[in-house]
Amino acid sequence: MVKKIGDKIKSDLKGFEDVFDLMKDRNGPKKEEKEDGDFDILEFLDLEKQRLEKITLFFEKKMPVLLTSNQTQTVITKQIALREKFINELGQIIQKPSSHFQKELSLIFNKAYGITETPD
Amino acid sequence: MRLPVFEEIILKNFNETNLRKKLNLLEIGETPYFINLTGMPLESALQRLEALKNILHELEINTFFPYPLFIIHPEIKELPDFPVVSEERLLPTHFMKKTRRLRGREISLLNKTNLLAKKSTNLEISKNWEKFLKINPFTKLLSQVTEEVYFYESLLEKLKAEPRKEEENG
Repeated sequence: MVKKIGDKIKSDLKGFEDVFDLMKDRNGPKKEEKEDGDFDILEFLDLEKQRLEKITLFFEKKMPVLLTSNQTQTVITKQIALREKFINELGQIIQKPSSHFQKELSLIFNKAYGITETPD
Repeated sequence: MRLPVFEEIILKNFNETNLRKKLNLLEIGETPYFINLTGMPLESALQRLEALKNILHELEINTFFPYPLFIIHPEIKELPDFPVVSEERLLPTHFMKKTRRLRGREISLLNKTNLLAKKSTNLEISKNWEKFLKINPFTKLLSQVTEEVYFYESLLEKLKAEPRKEEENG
């Protein structure tokens, strides 16, 4: 018969759970653990290892370079110039009367005001 | 050796000596922790966190890396020195795992993670993190501008490719 252990005894035995687990394994039949539980901790530790590797790589290699020779602002100015260039190019393409943008816009306009296009 | 899963720090007394004593006993930075300040008035919570921050700063413990020290308070939205959430259920689920006795492969992986965590704590994260925060707005701006440039570039490529398609079809 299995006796139930009271809370007081439980608190006295705190810290010895691992030892009881070992005894249980030796004497009783082995419990079949769920497959999910089997891989759950393994997967967690694997992800944790990857996370810590990324942190160490960042603080060990990338951060010192970033702090000593920071080129962020130079790259920002270059990127802003590139953005302006692309916007101008886009504007030129969109402004053409034959562009898709203009065609779609006229379609919306005509639909909204009920204008029907007459064939030339 | 323990799994790096969330543990709660219960702080009843926030005076300096008590905090020091408690923080020395805990392994902050070696396992994720959280402090639940729900129910505490905002002002007193902020005062207590300031005291906690000063001591952690002295001990050169970073509250973000390698393991976070989360603060739970419904009224605090963001703090520069601590990661904050409004409720306990919003804590990252990555660090919420049921522990059990580990097996061989798990123990060897845990050894590796412990080694990596100790290595990262030796990298003077706290000092470098402060410097990084100063240049952080620029990196965010760079990311934003680069995304815009990529968007315009891909749009231009598509627009330039379309007339060619029409010519081919026509």
